[in-house]
Amino acid sequence: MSREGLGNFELMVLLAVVRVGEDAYGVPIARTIQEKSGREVFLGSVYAALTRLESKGLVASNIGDPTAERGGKAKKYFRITAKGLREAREAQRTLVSLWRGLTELQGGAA
Amino acid sequence: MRSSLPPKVANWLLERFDVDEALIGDLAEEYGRDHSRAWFWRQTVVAVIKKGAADVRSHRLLAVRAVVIGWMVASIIGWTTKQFVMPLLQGSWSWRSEVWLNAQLGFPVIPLPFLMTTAIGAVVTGWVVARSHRPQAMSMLLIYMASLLLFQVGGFVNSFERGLRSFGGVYGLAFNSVFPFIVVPACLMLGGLLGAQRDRHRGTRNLSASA
Repeated sequence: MSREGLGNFELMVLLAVVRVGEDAYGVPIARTIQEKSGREVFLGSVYAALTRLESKGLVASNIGDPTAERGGKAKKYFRITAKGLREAREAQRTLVSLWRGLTELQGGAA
Repeated sequence: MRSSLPPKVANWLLERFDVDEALIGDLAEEYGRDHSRAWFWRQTVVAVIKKGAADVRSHRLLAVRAVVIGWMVASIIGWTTKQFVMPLLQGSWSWRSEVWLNAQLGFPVIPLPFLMTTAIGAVVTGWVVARSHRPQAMSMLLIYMASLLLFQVGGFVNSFERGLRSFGGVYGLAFNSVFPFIVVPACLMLGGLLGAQRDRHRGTRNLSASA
């Protein structure tokens, strides 16, 4: 894992990028997180996380074509890098090993 | 029927704060899918704050410079005003109108000449901070505003009882607090927005050296 590690929301954004696949730009990424978490997601927060992930080399981006429905602004597509995949697996391993055996968190009831 | 175009002022703010064009496009696309104006404004506020925080994190020295320059300019304007402008305004219509206003409201108000000169000073300060920190103009102005508000909150808490006495109670204090906590930040923002405007002749922003 990198020295800084992944924040909770960064990890959610990274997984959403993988889940959405080829069409991963801000809107579907935010929508995926919103559907899974059940909370309102701010696109500004998603972009802030994506910028951090890109600066860590965990995602890469490319610009699409501008469209009229977006006020003439282009989409920015994101995809996970090999380093990003390694980081996500590492985070999963760490979380699962921390989770395992915790009786307080079993059963789903609060 | 609701327009499919996003609220103009919010969109203009996003542009002025130099928010990622792809994000502005995403917000426009989502707004077109039947989101409310309140939703767009909420998204705008968060996008602007996130952009400001990211700029400050990646340009720490520039942020310190913005705070120092802001305080220096405000101090110079404040001192000059106190020394040369306020004596000229004493005894004028504005001081007399203050007596009338106090009688109408039933509590003392901050003198009008002070309000006007401070408001103009805030516009100038905002303009200088923004103009000297492009392309991160508005983010740097936000960090200066945050330092000013922190200072004012500290002053407000420290002199709360004195303020209650000076302004004749809670209503007077609340009324007079509108100026430092709402009018001054609004004037700073106005100056900043003017200072951060794109260079119409070149069509681009002046790329100042980032720290």
